[in-house]
Amino acid sequence: MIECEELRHAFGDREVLHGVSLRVPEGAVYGFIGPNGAGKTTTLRVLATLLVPTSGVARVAGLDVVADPVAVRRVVGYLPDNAGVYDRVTAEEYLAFFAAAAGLLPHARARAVANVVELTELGRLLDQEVSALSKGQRQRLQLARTLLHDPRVLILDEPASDLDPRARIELRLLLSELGRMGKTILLSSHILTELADVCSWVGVIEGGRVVASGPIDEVQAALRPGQRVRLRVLARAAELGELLGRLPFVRGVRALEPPTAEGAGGVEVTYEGDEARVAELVRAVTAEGVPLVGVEAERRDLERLFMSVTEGGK
Amino acid sequence: MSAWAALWERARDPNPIVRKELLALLRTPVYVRSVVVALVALAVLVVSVALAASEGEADLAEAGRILFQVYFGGAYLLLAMVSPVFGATAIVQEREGRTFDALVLTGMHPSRVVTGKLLALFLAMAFIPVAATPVLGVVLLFGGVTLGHLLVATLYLGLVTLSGVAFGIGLSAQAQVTRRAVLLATPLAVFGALALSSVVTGLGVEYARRHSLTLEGPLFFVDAYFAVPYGLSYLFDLVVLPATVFGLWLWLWGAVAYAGLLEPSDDRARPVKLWALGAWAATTAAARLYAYVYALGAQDRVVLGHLAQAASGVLLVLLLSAWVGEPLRRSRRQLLHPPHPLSRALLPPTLLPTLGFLVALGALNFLVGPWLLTARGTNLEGLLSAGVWCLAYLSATTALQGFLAVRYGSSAARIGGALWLFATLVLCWIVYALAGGGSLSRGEGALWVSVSPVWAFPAVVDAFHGGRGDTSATRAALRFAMALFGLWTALFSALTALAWRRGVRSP
Repeated sequence: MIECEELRHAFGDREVLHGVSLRVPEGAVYGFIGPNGAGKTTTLRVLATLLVPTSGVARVAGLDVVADPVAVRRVVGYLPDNAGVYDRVTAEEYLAFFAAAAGLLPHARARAVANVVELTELGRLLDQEVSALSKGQRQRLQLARTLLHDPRVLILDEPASDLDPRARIELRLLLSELGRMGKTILLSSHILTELADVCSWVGVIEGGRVVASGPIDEVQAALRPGQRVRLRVLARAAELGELLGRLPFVRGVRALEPPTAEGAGGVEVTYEGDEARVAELVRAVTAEGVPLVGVEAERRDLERLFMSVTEGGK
Repeated sequence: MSAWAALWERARDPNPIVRKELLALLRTPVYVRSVVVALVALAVLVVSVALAASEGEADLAEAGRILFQVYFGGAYLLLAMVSPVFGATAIVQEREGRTFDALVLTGMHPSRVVTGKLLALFLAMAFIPVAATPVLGVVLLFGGVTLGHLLVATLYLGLVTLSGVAFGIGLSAQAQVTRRAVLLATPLAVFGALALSSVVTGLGVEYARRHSLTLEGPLFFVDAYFAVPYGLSYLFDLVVLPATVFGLWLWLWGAVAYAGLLEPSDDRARPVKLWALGAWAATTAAARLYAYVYALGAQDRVVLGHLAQAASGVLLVLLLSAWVGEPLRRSRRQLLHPPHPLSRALLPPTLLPTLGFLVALGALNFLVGPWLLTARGTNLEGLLSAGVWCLAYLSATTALQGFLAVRYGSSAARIGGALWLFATLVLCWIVYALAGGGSLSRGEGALWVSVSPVWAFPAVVDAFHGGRGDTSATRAALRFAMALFGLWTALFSALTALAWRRGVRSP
């Protein structure tokens, strides 16, 4: 649904995109992550037709963003980072204005507004002036605005920034709902835990280049092959390396810290296979009478992925 | 819904920006307070004049005329100064408030955005005089002016307001910061109001002389609509000429605003280029009509021709300063969607062809336009001399700025252009004085100042239309300047070609 190939963009003499390539399949919720200044917003603005790349190709729903920006805008809903709102109109007037501006005829306009109001649960706020809404409510209003023309693709730049925890949870639920509706969503955020619960695909950009992209599990697997689990024992920690190393599915055992005088300590075991292997590990340890007190499987979350990619896989 | 029904529904659908802007404005306390204060001040004014008239046993009709002049004179001044400042916030606030992207992405055509903003702000400004109508109705009770006077004065008030708002929106669409747009609009609005009143007064004196009218107050032209007999002169002076002036003004600032809303990859200068061509045709036609209506003699037509050359010279130098920022090469979007070859030739989208277009426009303005004005049997030598001098001057200015733009960028080109203007308008006169001066009417020291437009026009008028005996020194100085401009143009054209071959920055 979204494709970029060797996308480059420069502001004056400063090139900020050095050949961004990524692919977002139809119906995917794609988290676009990267440190500040990595080129996330520039990439999203190119895809939203607000910037023309100096070279490379970008297509949304098969439409070239350089050649056919008007058609692209019809299929894209774009929410910019820190987008402003018109303060002295009510939420209903705000939505009605954008519905009319988007070219919806009067008879279709009311229906479009009603649909997005129901989806974003703005019904109780329609009569309130936009200036009186909270940040979370405004963000929902903005999201409603981007949905008015029923776009197939949503491009959301930091939609959760500056929101309180409740508003973030509401936004997350709303994005999940949009994902279920079949919208293709490309969103950037620096709040990675929020993305992890919503996204099925991920792309990591650093220094104007995409350094990893694909389904979250595949990217993690590619970056850190093997599963990891941490085991803690009250004694005989030094024996764990030899004991577990004999198992055929174990790829490595690393001590987390030197054992105490009583022999207490922990190891990180890298293994191949699914969670059933963890049960086998536990069985192997307890069968030898080693006092096992803790088992902690490594979480495959975006934070860890992000850190491993942007810090050279430390 | 059928296609016709959908078309009809769309045609009846008003511009959404108008409704949104007016709603927002009516909820702005400052605006509401301003309207109330204006209406109260007007009521106080009317009551004061009425009381003064009744106590002093003055003629009520005279009081009505005074009130009419005071009210509309004040309103003109106020709206001429306030409306540009008001308009200057219109579009730049969308940028600063970060709502501009959302507006652009709706796919709304830029011309619809401009007309929506223009209409909304105009209606907001016009609401004050409209709300004052009941108060103003008292003037009719006094007598001295008719309903027709009030209607014509109100029409002009509307046109002045619309022009002011359009000017402000033009500035606003080009600006990135509201404060800067307002700071620029404020002095320009004062200057514009003064210039407008000076032009109206100047033309009015000539107009009153021609029609044997007695000028009364700042709104003397309103009387003209009821004092001048109907005819071709009435149609030209009171309908065609004002419509041309206000129409071109609105078109210009509408085009500037439209250009400001286009994307960098679009051909942003195109709307103003189109205006330049249209303005040339409209003003030439208006001047030709003027010469015909008033059956101007050969000498008057030549004066008119020189005035047209001088005015278009100023305009073209201003346009050069704006267009020198054109991209050096066509954008990727333009390469993917190339304009029609004829369109590209007439309104070129990149720097060097644009500069060529400007010089061609200069040829139309300096040579063809004045020639179209002349009557059969007119001695064209003076007009052509001035025209060729102007074209040579414009070519030299363009060549210099073109080279600087290609080699060093548009900022350097604008600075270079300013220095060139300083050299030809001021510095050459300083050199002339240091070199010992001399009598310019006898052609002494004319070579020093022959590159200055300040010298060239009076010299041409004096040499070719003044009936003096020996004009050889002036003619030699003119030829010297033209040759100098020619060499200068050739030099910088060659340097531009060299710079281009060495490679230019990416667009």
